[in-house]
Amino acid sequence: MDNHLSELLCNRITDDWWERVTYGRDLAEVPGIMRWALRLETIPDLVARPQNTEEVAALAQYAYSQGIPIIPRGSGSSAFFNSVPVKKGITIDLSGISGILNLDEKQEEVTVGAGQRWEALDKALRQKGWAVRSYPSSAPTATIGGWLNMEGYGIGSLAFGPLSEQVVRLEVVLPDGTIKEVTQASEPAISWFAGSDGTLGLVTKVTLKIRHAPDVEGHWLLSFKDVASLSKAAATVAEEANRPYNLGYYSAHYFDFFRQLGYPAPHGEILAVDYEGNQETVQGGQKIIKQLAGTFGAEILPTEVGVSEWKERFYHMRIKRLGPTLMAAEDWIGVNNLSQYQDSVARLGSRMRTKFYSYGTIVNSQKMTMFTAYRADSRQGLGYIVAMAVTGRLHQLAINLGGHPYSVGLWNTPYLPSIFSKVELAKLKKRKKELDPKGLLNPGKHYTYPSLLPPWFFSFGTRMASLLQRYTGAREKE
Amino acid sequence: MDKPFFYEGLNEETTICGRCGYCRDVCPAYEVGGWESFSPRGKMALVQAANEQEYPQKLIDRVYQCTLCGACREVCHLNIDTRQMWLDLRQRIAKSGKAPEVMYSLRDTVRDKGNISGEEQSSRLLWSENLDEVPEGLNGKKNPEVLYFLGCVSSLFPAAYSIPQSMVKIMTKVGVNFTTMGAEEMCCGFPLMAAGLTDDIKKLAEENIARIEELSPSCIVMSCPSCLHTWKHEYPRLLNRELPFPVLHSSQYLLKLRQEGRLKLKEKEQIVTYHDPCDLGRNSGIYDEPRQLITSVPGVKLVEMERNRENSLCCGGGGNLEMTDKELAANISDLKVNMIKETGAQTVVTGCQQCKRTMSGAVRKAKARVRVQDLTEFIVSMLDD
Repeated sequence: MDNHLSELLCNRITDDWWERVTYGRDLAEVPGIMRWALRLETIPDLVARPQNTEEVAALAQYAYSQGIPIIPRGSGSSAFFNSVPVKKGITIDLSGISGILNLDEKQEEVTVGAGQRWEALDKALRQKGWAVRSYPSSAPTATIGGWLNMEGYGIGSLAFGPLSEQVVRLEVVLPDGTIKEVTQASEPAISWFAGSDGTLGLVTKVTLKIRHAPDVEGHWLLSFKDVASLSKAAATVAEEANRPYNLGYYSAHYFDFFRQLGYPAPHGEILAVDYEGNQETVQGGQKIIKQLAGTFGAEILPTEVGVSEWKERFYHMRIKRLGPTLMAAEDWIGVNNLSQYQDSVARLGSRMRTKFYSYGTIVNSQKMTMFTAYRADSRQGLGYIVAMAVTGRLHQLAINLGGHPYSVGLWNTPYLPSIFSKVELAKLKKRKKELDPKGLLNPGKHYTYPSLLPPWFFSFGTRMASLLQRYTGAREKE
Repeated sequence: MDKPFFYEGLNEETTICGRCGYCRDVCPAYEVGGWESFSPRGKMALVQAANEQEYPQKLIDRVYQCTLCGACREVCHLNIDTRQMWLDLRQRIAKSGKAPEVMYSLRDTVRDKGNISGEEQSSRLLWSENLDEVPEGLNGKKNPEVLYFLGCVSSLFPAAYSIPQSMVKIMTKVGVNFTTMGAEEMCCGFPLMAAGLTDDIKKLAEENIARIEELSPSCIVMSCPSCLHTWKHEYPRLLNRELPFPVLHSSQYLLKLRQEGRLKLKEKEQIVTYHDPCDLGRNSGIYDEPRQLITSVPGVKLVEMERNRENSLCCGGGGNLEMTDKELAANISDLKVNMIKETGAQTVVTGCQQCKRTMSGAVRKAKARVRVQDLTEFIVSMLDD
């Protein structure tokens, strides 16, 4: 290792293989043969743990001067290889840059290190009467910077919009090591970095708008007999002047799996409606829910069931125990298309003899994220590769309905033509060239697909391979 | 519903692990060590990257650089019994002869002497020599109401002597008919389990139980949560039978005395915080009784630490960590002291001699103005004259 680096970070940088290997994946389990075939070099050459912006800048400067890729990493809790190297390089673990740096109660803003975890931030703010406005469903571990670099939609987005709209200021280290303050109006602007997969800069500080901690919370589950009524109810309540803090969807199969694990779980197609705020807001919400249930023929489940599901909101992956691997496709779809989407998923499941389950977050009356998953076994070799191909079929169902994959990272790059228009993609590539002319920051992500995975080939390949799922997929107990 | 935990084998569970990282952010070893490899998910990544027959030194180091606190299990997305996994890994490593040398020495000491200190067993009653009055039948009395099982630390380490002394004073004052096993008490086997060297535990269990059966107490009371956990959870499994007598932690027994009106306490205004020992809380499910006992003292205000109950931060003293990495253990203790200080409490009470010892050292080092007491010490100071 270069002396310069060891002097800079002392024992917080390593080239030890056994340390580096732990930074070589995220939630996604990718077979070695696939990494080899796609020439993915996922183990970084070095891992660095800077503790302040200056150290990040010095690392970036060094990498820039040497032509070495750098990969920013928060908690590594996504599944798109957003923070996993594909061309080795230096992984910069930003977890150490955290903590509340300033709480400005007058402006209703908090400034944090980008490696700050969401749940911990919310807990700390609540002790002072404040709360974050929205957060990801992986809040116990996801970092502020990490979620910003994803698309930043999650719990609370219905009430407060995407994270990018709540950010007031960023401190960013650009690929050449320049430290820059970025605002909504600056050039580059916050919107450049939001959802950019860490390909434009290393975010080191974030100033966020916050909200008063709610006095009261109310969490209800509505059980519907059919998805069409549920989606109409969701669109209706999302349009209310007193709209909920959060709206979640759970397919009936989602809870089948939980029952299989021994958890008590509700029946039916479920709409979770969460109100937070003052007494008036939550009581008003309860009246809206009663009206909704009457209009759309839903049953309001006992309060404790709603509260219990709310407490489980960070634990959607529990079903992986039945896997032992979970494969999933996460997409944007229209709320009004939910019923058609679920019908298509059911037909696909029937053809493939595969049981899918879904959950989603309604972010406004028009659109929602949809996470559809199924069991697999990463130790199965060919069977696992076939199972991976099924995600392509699920994405295609969403695309057929005008949707597209959520987030890009590496694995969704074959869907770039569905995610962005040609004009949008050209604009993104122009930004990349402007800020990272050497292409060293998190290369291989977001703008182009691996040379062996052009969209037409990927689409054809996943379609063909997934035909075998009927024979190789996990069988469900009836 | 109680959360179920699963452990279906190392290969199965490391495959099931989703790498979500929830475990990472509650792990004291990771918080201090900083590298992903310290975290539970990092260790699972190392297991998967390693050849099962030959674990790399990095994995061996990290498996023993763990307090076995079980915080990772509480937050695990997939309900993996991670604590069981670390114990399984320690057993595999120890069996291969690659555990830290000090673990094998510990096993030999327990095998030779019957305790972890290496002292002669006759030293197990030295703590009682400082009592104002040594109660009659302190050692080996038959048919007592209570058999007080002290554990190696309380019996043999002078810094912990005040815990059995306090417990005995309380029981004497209340008029409990009690006894101890004296020199015949054997190590419960917990330190061997933490070392990964489990072969001798069954024998220790059999000897301890046989002796107690001779004395025939109505119940056994322990002030050591690790002994308690071993007795209540490991002995029945190892011996394939239920214990013939109830086993209680001192907090449970003292609360019972208090509720029966036998234990009378005076009023004293003070702010107290309570540290949940990992083997008492997370690993034995005893959270409420210590709190009820503390708050039963008139004038006492209990304030909780930022992390408490299931999410309590380990004091750094568990898992034999001090034997393998003293610095890491001390740095974890420093985190604990910071958390204690933030409560503004004058006293931190715990229910474990090891936690008391670890926190006392860290409090001294930090020059913090906080008193560290075991529950027995706290209660004895509140006895109504």
